[in-house]
Amino acid sequence: MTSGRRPILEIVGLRTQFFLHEGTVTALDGIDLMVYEKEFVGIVGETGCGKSMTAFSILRLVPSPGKITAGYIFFMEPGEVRQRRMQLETEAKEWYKGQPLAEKKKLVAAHEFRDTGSGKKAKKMTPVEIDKIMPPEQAPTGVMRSYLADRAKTIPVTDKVGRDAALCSYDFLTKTFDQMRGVRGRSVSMIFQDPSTALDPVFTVAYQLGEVISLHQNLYDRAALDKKIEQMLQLVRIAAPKNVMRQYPHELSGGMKQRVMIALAISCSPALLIADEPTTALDVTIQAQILNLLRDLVRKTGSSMMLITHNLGVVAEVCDRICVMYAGRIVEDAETFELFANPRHPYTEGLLAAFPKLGERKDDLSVIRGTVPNLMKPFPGCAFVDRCDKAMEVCRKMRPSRVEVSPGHFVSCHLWTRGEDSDVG
Amino acid sequence: MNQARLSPRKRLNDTLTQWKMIGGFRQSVADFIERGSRNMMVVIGSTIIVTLIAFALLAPVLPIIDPTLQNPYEEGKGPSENHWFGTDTLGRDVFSRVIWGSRISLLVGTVAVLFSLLIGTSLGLTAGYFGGKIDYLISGTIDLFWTFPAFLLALALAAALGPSLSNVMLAISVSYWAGFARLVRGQALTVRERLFVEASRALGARNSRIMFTHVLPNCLAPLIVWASIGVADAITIESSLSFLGVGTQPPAASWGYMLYRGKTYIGEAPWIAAFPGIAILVAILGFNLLGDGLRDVLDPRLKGLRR
Amino acid sequence: MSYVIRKLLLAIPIVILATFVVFLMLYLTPGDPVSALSPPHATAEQLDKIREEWGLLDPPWVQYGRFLWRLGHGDLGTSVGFGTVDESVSWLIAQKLPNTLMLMGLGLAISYTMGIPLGILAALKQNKAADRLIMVFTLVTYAMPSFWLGLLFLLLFSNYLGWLHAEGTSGGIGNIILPAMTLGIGNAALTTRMMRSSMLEVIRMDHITQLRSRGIPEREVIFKHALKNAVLPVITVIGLDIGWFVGGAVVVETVFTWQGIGYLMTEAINRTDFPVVQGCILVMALFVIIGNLAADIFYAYVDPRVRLG
Repeated sequence: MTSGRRPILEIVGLRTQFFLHEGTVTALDGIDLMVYEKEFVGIVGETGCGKSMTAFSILRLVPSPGKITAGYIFFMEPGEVRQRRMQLETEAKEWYKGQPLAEKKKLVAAHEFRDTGSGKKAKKMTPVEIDKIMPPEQAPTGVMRSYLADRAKTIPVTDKVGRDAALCSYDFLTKTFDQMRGVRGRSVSMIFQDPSTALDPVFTVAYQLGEVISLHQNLYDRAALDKKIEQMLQLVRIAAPKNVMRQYPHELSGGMKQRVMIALAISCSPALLIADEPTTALDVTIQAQILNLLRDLVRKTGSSMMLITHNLGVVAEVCDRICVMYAGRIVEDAETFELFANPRHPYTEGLLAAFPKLGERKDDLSVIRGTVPNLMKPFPGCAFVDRCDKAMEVCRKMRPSRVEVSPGHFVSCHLWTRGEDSDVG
Repeated sequence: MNQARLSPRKRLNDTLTQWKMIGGFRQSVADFIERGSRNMMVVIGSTIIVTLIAFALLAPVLPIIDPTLQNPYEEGKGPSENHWFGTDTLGRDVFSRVIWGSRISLLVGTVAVLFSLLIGTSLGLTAGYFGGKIDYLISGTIDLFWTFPAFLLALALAAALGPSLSNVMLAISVSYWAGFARLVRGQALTVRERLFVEASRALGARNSRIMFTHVLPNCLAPLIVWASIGVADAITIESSLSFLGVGTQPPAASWGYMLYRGKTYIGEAPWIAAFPGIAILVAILGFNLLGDGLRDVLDPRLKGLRR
Repeated sequence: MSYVIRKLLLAIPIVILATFVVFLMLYLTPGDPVSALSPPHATAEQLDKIREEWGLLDPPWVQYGRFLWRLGHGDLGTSVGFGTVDESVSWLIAQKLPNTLMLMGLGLAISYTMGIPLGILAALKQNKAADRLIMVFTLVTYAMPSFWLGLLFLLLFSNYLGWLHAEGTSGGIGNIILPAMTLGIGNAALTTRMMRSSMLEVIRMDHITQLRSRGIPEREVIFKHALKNAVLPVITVIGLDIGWFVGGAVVVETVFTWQGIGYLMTEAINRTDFPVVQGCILVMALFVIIGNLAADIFYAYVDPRVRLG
């Protein structure tokens, strides 16, 4: 169970949107996610459900014209700070509840849909007409953030924990560009999907590895660097590291390129490693090797890993916990075994059913009917409603909230929000 | 609603919307017109070109002085009320010469490009369709002509053949076709590849027909872009050639030729060369703008997305 | 390595083709080839004499062979109508070639020192004021034929401002700067655009985001990694640029009466001195071919994918 461990990453209400000529695409629509120490978390979903965008948002590498417009990303927040913050947040929620509707509307208009953090003045992303919006029941993160910021003024300077809590100092979204840069590669690093395009083709392997190592570990001596590079390459199980060092990316096979990427990512022993579809571009024989390598390495360094993939088989093997994403939202998350044994969300059920199993003879593979919704059109209810066989009236009108149906197992589905734990209709 | 009451603009909008709903070819045309009219470059470019063409076509009926009329009393005078652009060393009115010159320059530009287009498209199609040795031969030639500067080639040809209007057009056509050929050949090759995949379903002898009907519409967009820029290039080459003395000769006095005569007097009577020069610039700019603008419209991936 | 050898081998038939085409030029001239080689108003006897001198009565392949043989010995024929003294064409060209090379070299340098930084700037500030300004600038300069720009400079600097003497080649920076700038700025527009679009493409590539995700400072991401990647396509067109420069040199030299082979050729054309024209064209063609070859080799050296691949 994960309850004994510290959370490394806590994402609350993260919303990432892309502002295009044609309209606004909401790639991530308020996701909540936790990653604990030494844990392997899998993020699964179809293409376009927002898995990769989650990774990019965490590292704040969202490409223009995308912006993170709401939420928190807490990284390595000490327990006491978190406790204080929770207290302050409860305060904020109470306060928000108590406000009259008109006030609520004004608050939401003022604080939501803004470009968070990045050191510059938060810019209004979408002009929101006060009268047209329906403020949510619970305090949205933007409003809470501003409340906390106000509260921070009343906390004495000597109360460091308190100030950290109120100012959300451990939130990535409040960090400046330079601070984020210090984080990337050192505390959080990422492996990309296609190794052929992810390595710079005009520099040697040694150069690229050396760049990262010297940057984060302040090591500039040529000989020492070379030795370290060799070590790293050996760590990722590359034979003849001395040769590979001098080579250019295009001279290596897919599997080797991926290993180099892994070496680059773990060279500074990050606390969190995000792997975005690390095996999709490789052939099946190499996939297993790479997965094992990843698992061993991450275990050895004591880091956590976030594995993003659309392949259920992969997460089943490696991950402790799985989050299922759909249309920019997390619909279910639970421990691996629990998820496979007792899927609660209809989408998860569909996914598992669609997976062909060994020894089973079928004429047709079962599919989930319909297609992914258009992320440009906001939908007030559950995103899965058009494809769900168990859809109800309320599913179209209201977005389901996240409920814990059994210890450590969360679902966002109306089937479960009313406390019933048997299938309805 | 009374149909006659609708303003032409409204009627145009309505037609466009109708076409968009019909779908298919008309929809793409309607889309294209809509996006095109929003693009600054296309608008300015086409305005310039239309104006130039208007001048060229209407020259004979415009109330301007005869461009060949030599007036010994008004030699080398600067811009004045009677002569908006001044007169040249033989007393001819520069303004009307510029207007009449547009006929020549535009003629050379468009005809040269058309020929280039023809040569290039046919060679490109042949290369793409037949493949194998023929393709090897033709694409080798294409590469040769592509890397060799068109201007130099045209210069050599014009120098050898002797300066004249038709020789200039010929020279430019022969030098410029490689770009079109490449385009068409590339498209032909892709279609051919796709065809071979379907060939197992035995499309048989209709291959050639399909090639032509598939290849050309797909190339249409980039070909138009290339052609537009091509006219600009052709006008550049023609005027450069004429400037050097190997281009058009009187009585076909193009702008380049005017510059050729006028360059010696650039110090004392700059207007003789300046105005044709500006005309050349405007024409080239117009075609370039149109070409660039069309490229943006037809290939919007190249623009950055932003609100 | 094999890439280089392949390109060298390919160049040889092209060179031969060029000589053939240049040789053919004589037969493209209107009328009897002999009239191109003789001064105007030549008598019938003179024409016969010239026919014999030039071996015009021999079958074509013999003539071509002789042509090649003479070429191999550096003999490009003698000029006709160059005043009263018949000068050797090769000598004339050898005299003027260095001037043209100087001009082109400076022009290339100007073009790239202007074009590459401007292209990078435009890419980094895409769609903002700087980018739009630069794009307008490239559009306008690209639209100006070289002679136009040259005349403009001539007018501006020489006539009105009297800063720089633009006529002739009498040594010193003063004379070369204007024609070089004309050539350089004219080509800078192309370079800028290519650099800009190349840079824009590279910046969106996966490996750039990967670099950022490793914490590499933005400055290095752009100026070390992105730049090195983006410059490659621009280098591929150096060959085409050289071709453009050779053609442009003809025009610019004429405008500024810069004593290079371009000017030589224009003069020769105007007084119908055919051998000189022929010689100049051959030399220029050779220059273009060699220039392209050198550019290809340079590119192979710079791009590791080609070098080792």
